[in-house]
Amino acid sequence: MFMHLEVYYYAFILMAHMKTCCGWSVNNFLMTGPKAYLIYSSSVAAGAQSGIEECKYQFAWDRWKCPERALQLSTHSGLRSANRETAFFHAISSAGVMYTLTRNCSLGDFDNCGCDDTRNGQRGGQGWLWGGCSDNVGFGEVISKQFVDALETGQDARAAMNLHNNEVGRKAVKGTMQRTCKCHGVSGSCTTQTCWLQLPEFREVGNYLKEKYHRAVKVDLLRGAGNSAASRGAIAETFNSISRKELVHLEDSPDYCLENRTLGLPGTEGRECLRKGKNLSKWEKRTCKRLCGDCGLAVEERRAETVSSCNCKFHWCCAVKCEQCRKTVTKYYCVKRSKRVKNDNASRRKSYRLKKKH
Amino acid sequence: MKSLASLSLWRIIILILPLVSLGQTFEYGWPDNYDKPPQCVDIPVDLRLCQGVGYHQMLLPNLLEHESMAEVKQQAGSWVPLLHKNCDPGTQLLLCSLFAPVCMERPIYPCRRLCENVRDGCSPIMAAFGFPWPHILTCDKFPQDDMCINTPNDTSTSEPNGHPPVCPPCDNEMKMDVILDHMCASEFAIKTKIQEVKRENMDRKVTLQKKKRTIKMGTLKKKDLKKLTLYLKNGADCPCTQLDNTRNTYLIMGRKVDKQYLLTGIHKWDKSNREFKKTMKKLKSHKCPAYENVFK
Repeated sequence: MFMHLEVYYYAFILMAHMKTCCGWSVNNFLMTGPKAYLIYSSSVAAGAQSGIEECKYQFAWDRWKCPERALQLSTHSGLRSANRETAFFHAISSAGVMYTLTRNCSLGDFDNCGCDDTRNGQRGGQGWLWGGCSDNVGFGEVISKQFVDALETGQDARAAMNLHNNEVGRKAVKGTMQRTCKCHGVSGSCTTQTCWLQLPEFREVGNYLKEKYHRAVKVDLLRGAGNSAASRGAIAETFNSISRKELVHLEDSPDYCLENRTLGLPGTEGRECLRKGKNLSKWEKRTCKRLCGDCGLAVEERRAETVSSCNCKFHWCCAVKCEQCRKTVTKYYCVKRSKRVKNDNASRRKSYRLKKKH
Repeated sequence: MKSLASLSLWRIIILILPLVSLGQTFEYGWPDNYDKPPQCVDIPVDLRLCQGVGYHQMLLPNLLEHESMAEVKQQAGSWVPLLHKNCDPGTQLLLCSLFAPVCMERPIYPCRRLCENVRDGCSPIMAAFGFPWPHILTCDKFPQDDMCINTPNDTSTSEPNGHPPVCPPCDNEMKMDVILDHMCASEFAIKTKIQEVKRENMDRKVTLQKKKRTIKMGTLKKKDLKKLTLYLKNGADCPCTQLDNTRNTYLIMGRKVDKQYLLTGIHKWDKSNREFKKTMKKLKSHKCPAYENVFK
C-alpha cells in the first residue's frame, strides 16, 4: 500500500514539474521528452524509492525517522523546510536515482549505454589490468542530474540549497566507488588479475551521507532577501563558496520530541527504542535515552513470545531442515511519565523521614 | 494537446507500478554483488570438474563471483588435474560447492573442516606444481556450524592418513583426459630425452638433451628452450621411474615460477600405446580455455 502511495508521490512530482516549469511546453515535451521519460522514469522512481528506504534505515533510531508524511506535506502545502534533515533527504534521494540508473546501465537495461570500457586492456598497476564491466557512473550522473535537478524550479535560497545537496548525493556515489578484482590465473592464483570500478552497496553511500549529515553546514542569509537580481547573485556567491562535498541547510531543526501536526511530525511518544544487545553500536545503545529520557518520557518494557527457525542443518543433497524455537523478545517503548512515579517519590520521602526520626 | 500530454504521463505511471510490485529483496548473505539475482541452471556436461558431484543444478553467479558459465568453465578447468590426484576424498565436493554451488534459497558454503581436510591433503601436491593454496579457498572464512556442506559420510572422525611418498608430476595416469588437462594447466610441453638427473637441496634437477621438439610453446622462448633445465619441486627422494630411465623419449610438461622451470608432467613417448597415440592426435585440435575470451 505504502509503496503505491510513494510511487504516486513521485509521479505527482513529475506532473508538478510539467505544470510549473516555465521552460517546458507541451511541444517541448512531445518532441524531446516522451521517449527519454519513458525509458528512464521507472529507474528514476525506483532509485528515489531506494533513497527513501535508505533514509529510513539511517534514521531508524533517531528522533527524526525520515517520516513520509513530513516529506509529502512539505511538498504539497508548499511549505518547504530547509533544515538539516531536508538536506540529507535530498542528497540520499539524488544518490539513489544516480545509483539505480548506473546499475541498470551495467545490467544492460538501456540500449544507449553500457559498461565503461574506456580503460579496458590497459595496465592499471603491478600485476593487474583494467577489464570487465566498470560501472558507467558518468552516464548515471548526467541522467539523474537532468531528472532530479529539474524539479527545482525556483531561484531562491531554498532551491539553491536543494540543488547543492543533490550534487552532494551524486558525489557520494562517485566517492564510494571501489576497485574490484578477479584472479584469472591457473588454480586460483593471482598471477593474472582483471580489475574494474564497481558501485559499492548502497548502504555505504547511506553511511557516507550520514556522516555528512552530522557535519552539515548552516548558511546564514539575510532575512527578507527576495527574488531580486541582487539577492540571487548573493545566493549564488554564497553557495559557490561551499564545497560540493558538504551538505548545507538554512534553518535549524524543529523539536522532534514533540508532535507537530502542522509539520507532520509524530513526536517520539510510542516509539520503540533499543537498550541492550551485543551487536548494537554506541549510537544504538543510547536510543532510549535519546528518544525517551531526553524528551521527558519514560521507558516501558514489553515482552512477547515469538516462534522462529533455529538450529538449521543442511542435509545432503539438498535440503535445509530447521527446528522451531520459541523465544521471549523484550522490546522497549517511549511512554508518558505516569503518576505512579510521583507516588514512588512520595513514598521515598516518607521512608527518609522515618529514618531520620530513628 | 493537453489530453495527449496527460495520456503520456499516465503511461509513465502505469510503467512504474509493475516495477515496484516486482521488487525483491534477498535477506541472506549473497556475495557482495548487486547484479542480477542468482539463477538455477543445469550443470553443463562440459563442466568436468563437477560431473558426478551428487547434484545436477547450480547457482549462477556462483560463490566465487564468476558471472558467466564461460568464466566458470575457464576457471574450473585448471582444477581438474587436482581431482585426478585423489589427494582427498572431499576435493571435488569442496571445489564444486564454490564453483557450482547447490541451488538453495540461501547460499550454502563448504564447512571449514571439509576445507581444512582438502587443504591439508592437497596443498603438498599443489606446491609440487608451484601453486600455493589460493586465497579464494582460505578455510578460515567458511562456517563451522551445521549450515554448510560436508562429505556425506563424514560422521566418523577422520584419522590422518599416512600419505606414501608421491611424485605428483610422475604419477599421472596414461589417459587422454588426464594428459590434456595437465597440458592445459602447464605452460609448455616438449618432446625430448633426459640427459642428466641430479639432486639439488630438496629438489631434483633435470637436464634435458639438446634435441627437442616443441609440442606447446606457451611463454617459453627459443633461447630458453636450448638450455632448458627443469626442477622436480620437493622431489629429491620421491619415486619417479621416468627419471630413472634416460634412454626413453618423453613428453615433458612444465611451467615457470619466478626464475625456475618446474616439471609438471612427464609421460613416456610411447607410440605403441594406443591411449598415448590417441592423445597426440587429439592434441592437434584441442583448445584450452583462455581467460581473454571471458570478457569479450
